[in-house]
Amino acid sequence: MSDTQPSAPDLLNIGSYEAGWHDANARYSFKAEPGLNENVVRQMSEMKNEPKWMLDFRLRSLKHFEERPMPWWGGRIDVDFDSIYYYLKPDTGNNRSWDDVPEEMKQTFERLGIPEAERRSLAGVGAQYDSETVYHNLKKEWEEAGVVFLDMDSGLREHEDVVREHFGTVIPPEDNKFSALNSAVWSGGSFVYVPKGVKIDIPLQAYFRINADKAGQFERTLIIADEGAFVHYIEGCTAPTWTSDSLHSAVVEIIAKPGSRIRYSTVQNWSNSVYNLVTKRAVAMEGSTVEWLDGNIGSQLTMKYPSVMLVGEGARGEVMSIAYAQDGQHQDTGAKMVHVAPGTTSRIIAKSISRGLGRSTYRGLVRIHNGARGAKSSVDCDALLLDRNSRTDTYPYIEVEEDSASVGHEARVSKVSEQQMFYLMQRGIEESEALALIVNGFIEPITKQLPLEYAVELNRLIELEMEGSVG
Amino acid sequence: MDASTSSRTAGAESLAGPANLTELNELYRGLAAVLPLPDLRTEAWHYGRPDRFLPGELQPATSAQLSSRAQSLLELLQSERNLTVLEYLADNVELRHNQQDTDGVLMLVQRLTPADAFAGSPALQPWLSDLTQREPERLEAEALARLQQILLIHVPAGNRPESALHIIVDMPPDGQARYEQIVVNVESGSELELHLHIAGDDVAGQSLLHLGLDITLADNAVFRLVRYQHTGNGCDIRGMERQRLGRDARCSSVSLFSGGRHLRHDVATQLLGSGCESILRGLYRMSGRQTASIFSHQDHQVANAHSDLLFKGTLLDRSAASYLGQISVAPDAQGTDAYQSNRSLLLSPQARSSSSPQLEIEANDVRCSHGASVANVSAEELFYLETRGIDPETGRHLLISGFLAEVADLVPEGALRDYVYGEMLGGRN
Repeated sequence: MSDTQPSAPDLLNIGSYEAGWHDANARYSFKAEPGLNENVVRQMSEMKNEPKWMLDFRLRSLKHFEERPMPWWGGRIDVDFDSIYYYLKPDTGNNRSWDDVPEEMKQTFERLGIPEAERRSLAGVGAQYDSETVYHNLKKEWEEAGVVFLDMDSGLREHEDVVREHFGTVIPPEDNKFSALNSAVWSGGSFVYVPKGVKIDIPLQAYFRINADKAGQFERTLIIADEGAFVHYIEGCTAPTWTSDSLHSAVVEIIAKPGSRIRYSTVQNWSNSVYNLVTKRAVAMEGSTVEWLDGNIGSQLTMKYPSVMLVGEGARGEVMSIAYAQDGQHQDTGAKMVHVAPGTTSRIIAKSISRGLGRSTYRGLVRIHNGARGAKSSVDCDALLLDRNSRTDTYPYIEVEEDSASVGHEARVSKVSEQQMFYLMQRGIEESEALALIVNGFIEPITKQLPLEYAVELNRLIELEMEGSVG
Repeated sequence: MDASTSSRTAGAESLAGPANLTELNELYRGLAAVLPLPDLRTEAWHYGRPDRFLPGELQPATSAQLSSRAQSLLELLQSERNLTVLEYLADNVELRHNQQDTDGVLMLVQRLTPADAFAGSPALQPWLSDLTQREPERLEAEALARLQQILLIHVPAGNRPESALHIIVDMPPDGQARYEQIVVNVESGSELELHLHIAGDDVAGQSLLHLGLDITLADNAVFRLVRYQHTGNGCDIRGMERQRLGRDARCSSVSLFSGGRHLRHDVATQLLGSGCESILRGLYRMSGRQTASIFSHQDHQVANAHSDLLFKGTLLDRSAASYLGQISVAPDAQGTDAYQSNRSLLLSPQARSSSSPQLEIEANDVRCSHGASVANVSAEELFYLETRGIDPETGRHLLISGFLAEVADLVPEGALRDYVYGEMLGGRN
């Protein structure tokens, strides 16, 4: 167990990132050579016994990844693609019973509180360890209602027709360099299908853990809510603290059919060595609602802009996000709303906190196409700067081609109010505690949207990260 | 470092730079040949193509004949008392002051020709130093390579001319291009009010103007600018306004854009002295197939400075406008108070508007905010007016006038305000 304990220098290094230990005893039944080439992709696809169309899809993506230049905007991406392990298969199958999960992994996930959360308040749980899902379970009542909650690989095997129809339709490999990378080497992730009219009243949860050094995690998630359905999907992510870089590059595609509602919540708490370059996009059809709730803590660089394509009349999109950047971290996050159909509405609330030399960036797009009669969108960005050297940027883009639309954008940047601090301290609250209170108050509009355990967790994380930030 | 110190140091450094306009032309001719045009990576060119502002086949302006718009403007200005009118033409060396009010001691207006040594005009140094130190840009280089004269306006320390200075810049005739540079240097404790009129008639082909305006305000200087841009079809204008503000200096600038064809306007304010303030207001009224690309930069380099920007526009027919603005706050610029806002009224189903107000903030004790909105006339406000017995047509007109008034009313009352509402903003809503 000693290897799973955080070592002192690591702790100093990252403040109080609590998931920084790694499991040195993890066994891998297969570890591809580092670096990316056609062989790795072919080998992977073969081991997964995939249909030919998927192999072709992967190869087409790989070609695009190799040809596409790095993005010229955003944060500094300094990844050595040749030293990354693109496929790590833990020595275990995909288990339906928690008891069958190997002891070391169980310890990892138990420390992160996964099975406990399942017993208490979740409809289903998936846990992914490096490249493969090691545990997946869905409560019986939902299974009987026709809900599918599988890891993506099983989803492809068991529901090939549905996957083939939708896979890569929301985010094609050609969308950007990292969606191409994911499309070439994806492994794991969740496949969720909620049938017509089924409303799952408690959340489904997936947990992604990078354990190995220089590992790349490329999970691929596809969520489909059929007409009138509702699902709340929660995702959590952690990784150990390594000195060399790891890469997390996920693709999440969401399809909300007419009248459905999908809420996707994620709290990512990566260690400082992780590049988190994620593409998340939803298509919202007639009368449907898609909500992204996005918490970003940690990582060296996060570039993530959850998007909603509002293609059906009356569709609604919402993004609520929190970013917390400390020394050496750059949170380049935001949201995109593309209004294509009439009567569509969207709202973006983005809050960021920069501490020490941390840099947080809001980058967002609101686009209203000609014909989206009466579309409405509002964007609100708030940035809180805790230290003299903290940095914040705001890069909103608004493009409107429709005269009956109404778009508003507001952003504010401020530091912690001295008056508020003074008030709390003269009531006998210590400085650091007062600061934590104010920061938690700042993000409260978003945390109150999270399920209780997550809200508590997020508050606690930020409180821990705040420790020692005064003086 | 305040503006006056920077101008002193600049004087020394510029010895190595161009000695006169001919050398400057030469320098930028070389740069223009190698610099690329701005592309999507460097700026958001949504609707305005930069190559529209290249000289191409256009001939340098030669005519000394005023356009009819400039002529009527001149008559209007001359009929007003208390105005200093300065007629301004490309190859007409004569400077005509309205003698009633001008006092040459209070303010020096000087025209520099290609052979005049820059060293003879110390007031030129801040501009020259800023120009040679910043990264050159293609369109500006094209203009500087062809610049035939510089108009230098210098207010020595402690002077406050009682009347405002008016300058008319006329668009060149069809098929010609004009390049002008106005350098304003207001010394410590002085004040100046400048009205810049850009006028031009309809042309069948293209008439192109590159107009640079460079403003240096020393400590405690006060400067007010009103820009009236009202030109005809086929007029393409690239405007560049740069301000450098010293300690406690105050600058307010109001720009009104109407008519013309393609517009690219670039305004940058550098807040270099603590306690200085820059207020920027703009109004663009687009119709037909006009395009406007507006760029702004509020560059806070020192503590406790204040900047406030508001650009508003109405878009009719198939017109398009894009706004890209930036506030940057340097790590030492604590106590900054900066605001930036862009509001557009989209009044036609084919009109387009894009807006990107950006912030880059590296200090924490700041108050920075920005806003942007794009919408049509509010249905609720229209409904309210209707319940009061005002028909929708009139209601719409009222609401649009109210929208324009926030900026247009900053023009001093009198004949000019009437001109703005009648000639520039009039017509259908």
